Amino acid sequence: MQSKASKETKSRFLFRHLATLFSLFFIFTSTSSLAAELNLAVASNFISPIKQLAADFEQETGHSIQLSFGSSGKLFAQINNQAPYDIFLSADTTKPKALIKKQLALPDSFQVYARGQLALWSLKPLNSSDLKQVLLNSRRIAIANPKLAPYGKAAKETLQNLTVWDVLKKKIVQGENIGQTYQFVYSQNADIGFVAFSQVLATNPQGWTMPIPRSLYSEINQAAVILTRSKRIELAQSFMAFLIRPDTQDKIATFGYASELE
Amino acid sequence: MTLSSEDITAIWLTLKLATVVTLLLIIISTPIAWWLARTKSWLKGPINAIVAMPLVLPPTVLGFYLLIFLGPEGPAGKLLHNLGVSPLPFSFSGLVIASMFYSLPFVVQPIQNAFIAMGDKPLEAAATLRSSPWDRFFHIAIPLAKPGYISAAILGFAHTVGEFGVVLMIGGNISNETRVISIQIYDHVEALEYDQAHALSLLMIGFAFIVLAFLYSSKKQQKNKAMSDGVL
Repeated sequence: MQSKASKETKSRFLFRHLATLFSLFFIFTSTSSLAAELNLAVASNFISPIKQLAADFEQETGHSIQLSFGSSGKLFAQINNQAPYDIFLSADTTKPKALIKKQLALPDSFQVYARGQLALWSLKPLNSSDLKQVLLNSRRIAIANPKLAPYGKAAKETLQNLTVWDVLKKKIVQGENIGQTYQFVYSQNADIGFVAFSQVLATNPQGWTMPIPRSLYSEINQAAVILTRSKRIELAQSFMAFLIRPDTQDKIATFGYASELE
Repeated sequence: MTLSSEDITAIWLTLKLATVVTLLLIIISTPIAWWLARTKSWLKGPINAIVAMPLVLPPTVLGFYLLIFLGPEGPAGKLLHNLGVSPLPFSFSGLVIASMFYSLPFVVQPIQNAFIAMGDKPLEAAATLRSSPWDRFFHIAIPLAKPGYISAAILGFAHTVGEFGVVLMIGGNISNETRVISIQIYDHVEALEYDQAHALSLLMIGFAFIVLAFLYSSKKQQKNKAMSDGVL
């Protein structure tokens, strides 16, 4: 008799726990199906702003965002090979356009989300307030690869517009991207360098910065697209809308970018 | 798939770099390998470790510290500046120095193994015949270690040709000065010039295969020959 009773309580005990487990499982699965995850491929120069923006978006909507960083060229190659991203935030406009052409991105999703600003940066005091003079006095000038990096192209245009490109060509060293260009100046292997104003703002280094007049280089537009492969196109669209909302654009501007809407 | 003139420049530069580095490394590695093969000093372990470190370190670590070390504010950079030598980063000489660090174990280790494999006996026999230490080294040790030297030269050369991370860090991507094949391929890929990237990459794969196939078949032959000669 006794053993039967204890068996009964045991099974009831077990049942109750199983029930709680089931309901817990149900709650977890249902919430996770409500909050979807968005995968973003982001050009490295936009790392700090996007971290902030992603956190804001997560807080606002309850959806989570996964970020993958790399140079635009590398991310482009990954997307070409079926990388599972929903949105691509490129450092330029050519790669998003190329993806649309290949039908890997939605044509009407193309959106410029930020505009880069070029700056000259040096650890030692600049020996003149005249941009051209500073360049001519320098020993070695670091720029990003003009063929690959939008900031490198802008730097080259600046030097060409100042008509010093041919004179200074021998003094120029190229970083693969704007991060390496920064590193060349930071280690003082180059005495000055053309970097992104956003880098200088983000790292707040010592040294002297001179903004480059916007008239000297063509716009450094950064564009985003939604990828055709995405299974959460609606959510991706709401993120794109969030990205160009005026308050978001104001936030992007605090990271050293010109607001796209200005 | 055709190679542009920029590609050809990169190929020549790479071959030049690998040749200079291999020759210098063979000269430097000989005393290091000899000492490591013979010594009973407690320093043997640490020195062996230093030589082998590039095998396990990412090239970016080497490049990063070389950039700081050789830069105008770095110890070596300051010293060189005082000696009137122009800064090494972004120059061919800088690449040579960096590649020597990077490829060192690939040259030292085969030579060291060859010295160890020959044992003490041939040298002791020569010593009893009143051969001088230099004589023993040049006329017995070096010829006996020849297979080791061949492996060392091939591996050192091939490894330098395949270098990427270090050059990326300290090279500055200058045509005919620091833009080697691997950097050129990286540029092509990033610029979405996949055809040109393919052309150079396939060339590299062919090169790597031929070098390694040659190395492994010649090793086998050497072994057979050595056995028939009754050496091994």
